[in-house]
Amino acid sequence: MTTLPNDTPAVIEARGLHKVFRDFWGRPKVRAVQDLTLEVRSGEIFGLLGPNGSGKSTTIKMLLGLLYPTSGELRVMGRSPRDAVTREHLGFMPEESYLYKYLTAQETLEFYAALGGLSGPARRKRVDEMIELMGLSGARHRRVGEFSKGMARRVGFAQALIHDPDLLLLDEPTSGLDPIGCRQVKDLILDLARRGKTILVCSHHLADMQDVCDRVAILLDGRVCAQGSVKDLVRQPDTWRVTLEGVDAALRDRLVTYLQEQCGRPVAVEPAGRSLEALFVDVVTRQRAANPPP
Amino acid sequence: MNLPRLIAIVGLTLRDAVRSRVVISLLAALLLVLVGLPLLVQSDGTPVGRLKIILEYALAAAIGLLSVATLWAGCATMAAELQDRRLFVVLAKPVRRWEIWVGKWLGIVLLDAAVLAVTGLVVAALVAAVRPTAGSDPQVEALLAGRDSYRPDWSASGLARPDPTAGGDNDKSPMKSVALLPGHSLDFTFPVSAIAPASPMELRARIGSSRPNRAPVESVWEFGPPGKPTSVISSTNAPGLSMTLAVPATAWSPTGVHVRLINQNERDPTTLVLATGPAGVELLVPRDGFAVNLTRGLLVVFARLAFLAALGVTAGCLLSLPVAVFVAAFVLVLIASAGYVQSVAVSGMYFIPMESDAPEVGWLDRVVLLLFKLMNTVTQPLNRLAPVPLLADGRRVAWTVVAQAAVLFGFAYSSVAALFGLWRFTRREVGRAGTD
Amino acid sequence: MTPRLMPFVGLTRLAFTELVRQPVCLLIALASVALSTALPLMIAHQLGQQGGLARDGALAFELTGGALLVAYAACSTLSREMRSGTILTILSRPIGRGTLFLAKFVAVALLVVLFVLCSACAALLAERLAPRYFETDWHGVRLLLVVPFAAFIPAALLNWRRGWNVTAWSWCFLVAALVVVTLALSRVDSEGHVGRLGEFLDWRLVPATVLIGAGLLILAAFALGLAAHLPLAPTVTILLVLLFASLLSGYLSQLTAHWPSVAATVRTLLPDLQRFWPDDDLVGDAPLGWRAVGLASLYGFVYTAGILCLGVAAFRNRQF
Repeated sequence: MTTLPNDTPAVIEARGLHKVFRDFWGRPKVRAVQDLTLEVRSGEIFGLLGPNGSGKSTTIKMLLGLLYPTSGELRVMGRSPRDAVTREHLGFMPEESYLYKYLTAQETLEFYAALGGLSGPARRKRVDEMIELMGLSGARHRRVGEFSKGMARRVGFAQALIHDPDLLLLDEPTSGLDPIGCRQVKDLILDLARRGKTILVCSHHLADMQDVCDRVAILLDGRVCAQGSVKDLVRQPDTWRVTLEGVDAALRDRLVTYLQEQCGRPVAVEPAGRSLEALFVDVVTRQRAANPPP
Repeated sequence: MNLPRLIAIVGLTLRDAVRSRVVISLLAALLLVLVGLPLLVQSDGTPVGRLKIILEYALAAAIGLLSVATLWAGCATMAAELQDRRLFVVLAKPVRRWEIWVGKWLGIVLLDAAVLAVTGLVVAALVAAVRPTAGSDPQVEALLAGRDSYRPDWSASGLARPDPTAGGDNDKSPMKSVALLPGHSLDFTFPVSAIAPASPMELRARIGSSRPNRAPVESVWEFGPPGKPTSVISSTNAPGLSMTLAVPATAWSPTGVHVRLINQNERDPTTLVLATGPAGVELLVPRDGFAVNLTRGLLVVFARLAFLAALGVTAGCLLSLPVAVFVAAFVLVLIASAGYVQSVAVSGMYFIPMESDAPEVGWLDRVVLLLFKLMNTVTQPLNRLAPVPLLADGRRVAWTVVAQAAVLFGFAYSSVAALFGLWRFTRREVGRAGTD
Repeated sequence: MTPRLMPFVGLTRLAFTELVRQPVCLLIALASVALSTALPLMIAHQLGQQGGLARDGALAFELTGGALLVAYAACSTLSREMRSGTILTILSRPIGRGTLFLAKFVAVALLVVLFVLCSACAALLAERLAPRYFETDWHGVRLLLVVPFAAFIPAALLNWRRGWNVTAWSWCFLVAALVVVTLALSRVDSEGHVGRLGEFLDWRLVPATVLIGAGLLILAAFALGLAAHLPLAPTVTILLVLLFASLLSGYLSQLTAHWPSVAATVRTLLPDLQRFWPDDDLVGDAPLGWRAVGLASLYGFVYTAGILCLGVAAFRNRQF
């Protein structure tokens, strides 16, 4: 995670954004987004969090030009989202894999590469790179309609990256992936950010968001109710976590007693352990190394 | 316009149609119709009868099927992709909406071209299978030749007597028939500037008589320069019915085909009445072979399919799939009813009043008639530019007809559909939950 | 209601609710009614037979419109659910596939009942509006033109005020408006003379439309069986081919007369939809009794049951 200087240019600027869905009679039916103001700066990983129906998907669709704001201002890389030129530097991975089931993985990526403006050897090279990156080499000539959800998500991610965009919009990128796949996606997101890409991520997997995002905004009922860097938001004032290694139980007890006397309040002690995800990845990796698949 | 993007969308449309087995199903259905219908529908057993079944029924049914399939494909390629959101990912790319519309339309048009080509080949193969040895059956050769129709130049014929029943000012109203007293003759000329060597022509006429019963009447036809006929044919036929005469090529001269009709009913005096209006006397002169004529006919059909594809894609942009198909099918039915719409618009009536009363034309009738007139302006060219009746009657589908079809359907009508579709599609929010 | 019947009733109600909310089902019914009642206006249908041509046309629209309706309804209620995966949420419950399949059929059958009701009114009105040679009852036509407004305006108002589904309520108001106009015109002849209720209508058309409706149920069973395996376009195509082949079964038998076993197979396998076409019975003033309808319906019931059994068996083996 990185902290960017305040003068870093904004890639996404939303000011006073409103989106109201109306019924057939023109009456407001749902106020999906209300007075949304946020900024996503170049090179950062920005998370959009919120419960179902909070306006995350509506915001993403407005950024893509699929929905039009009722009022307010929205600029993506300095242009209107409805401008096709804007999308030359934008990649989108939807929540579900809306793919053409009769195309193979290779044909799908070639199609999206062509739409992204790549042609000839550059397109072929880029498609091969994406297939390698997403681990789809064994399935490149299989029809996408036969893929499992995880494989389809990989194709979805690959098409978002195919034309090397500067801005990525990822809607639930880890949905449908196993923990190893999730770890790979998170590593990829971090790697892309290191290479200067700007990434806007929507996800319900808060642990994943905490691992990768620089800044987040929490939406509720279409409004931003919290926004800032992850570190600042999650920090509890005057509360610290201390990790002790190579400390036996007796020394531990003496340290705890000393701290309690100093702080004047109880001190919580727990054995430190790995996350379940780390354990899973470790077990599976070791098992695969010992018994490689045929 | 970015050509690689357009080509990518065209390629996707084609690939989707082929791999989803739509094309193969359509080809199978077309084959079933083209081959099956002539087997099901009983003809008179003659080669001409069997050929008419192929050209009039099977080809018409195949074109109808292809029209419906084109409409469906147009609606589905847009509406289905919007409904299941596959188009969202495409719209997230730097592609303009009009490029998507044009790419989808072009994909369907190319598919139509391929399927139409196969249809043409199958029809040609069926015709070749039914056709006797070339030249052995003049009636078959006449049906398969692309023939031009000529009407007599009545202004040069000084003996024509205007029809007293024509009504109104005879100088202005079109002549519908000419009466010929017993012993009299009528000279007229068909302005045929050239003919293919040794190709027989066909004269079609309708002759009425003054006899109260329906006894056959005799007529004598002389072909060739006046006074020096190269061919004389006597004909006896029932009055009022259409008759055909084979006119030898020797009847032609550089000044045209001269005809003298003689009323020799002197012993049993009968006035002959030769019909001269739109359904009256005409001369059919062979110009082209069947293959070329069929190709031109299919080009006209192709132009119509291009319009239907545009209609389907536009409907698919705006409506859900089943509603889009329904609306587009309604338009297709309207097009198929072009003849009825024209008859109402021209006659100004869609009902026949009781004989004793004057027609009661209220405000509702005026509104309905106005609607019919408006529909007629759109559908009338569709009625005029239908190639199947021409092919089934051995008439030439002229290049001018092909050009008119290309301009009207392929360009004008398609453009209107496209502009409307694009105008709405570019303004449409496609990301609304539940409806897209 | 017994616990065993509750899932069946629940599934039927859900499927029927979804069908009446489909705009296309309403559009098909509306088109069939509109075309049937427009026939008396067309010159060709005033040529003789005192409204007979209009009547026969209305019955033909009921048959073809009904075939399209059942094909679409079957695909909408089954094929689309299978493709979208929502059927898995039902099959994951303790509900047999046979129960599900039959519930869908009953829902489609209920839709056919609504359609037949509309078609009966349309046929009665078509003949009533073309009473004599070269005559159209224009006063009746003006009353008829009120029907679409009476169907859609209240439904739109309900949607505006309470947010109720406009399509479903349009069905209700359409049926009600047609029945009211039919009854109104049954009391008044084309010259404005008032008589008894029902005096000026040919009530034989009611059993005639019910007869056709019974035939449509056979097609509905076929459509559902096809929809379990095929999407919309092939289902509609095969159903229409089946419809026309069934109507031409006599002619097809003649064609295959040289191969008796083929002819016998054709006659046996194809449903004899000619039993459900009442046209010849309506010539002249001969009555068309409910007994004839009952006998044909019995044949239809047995045939439909057979097709449903095959459909259930095939659906049981369907993998998702």
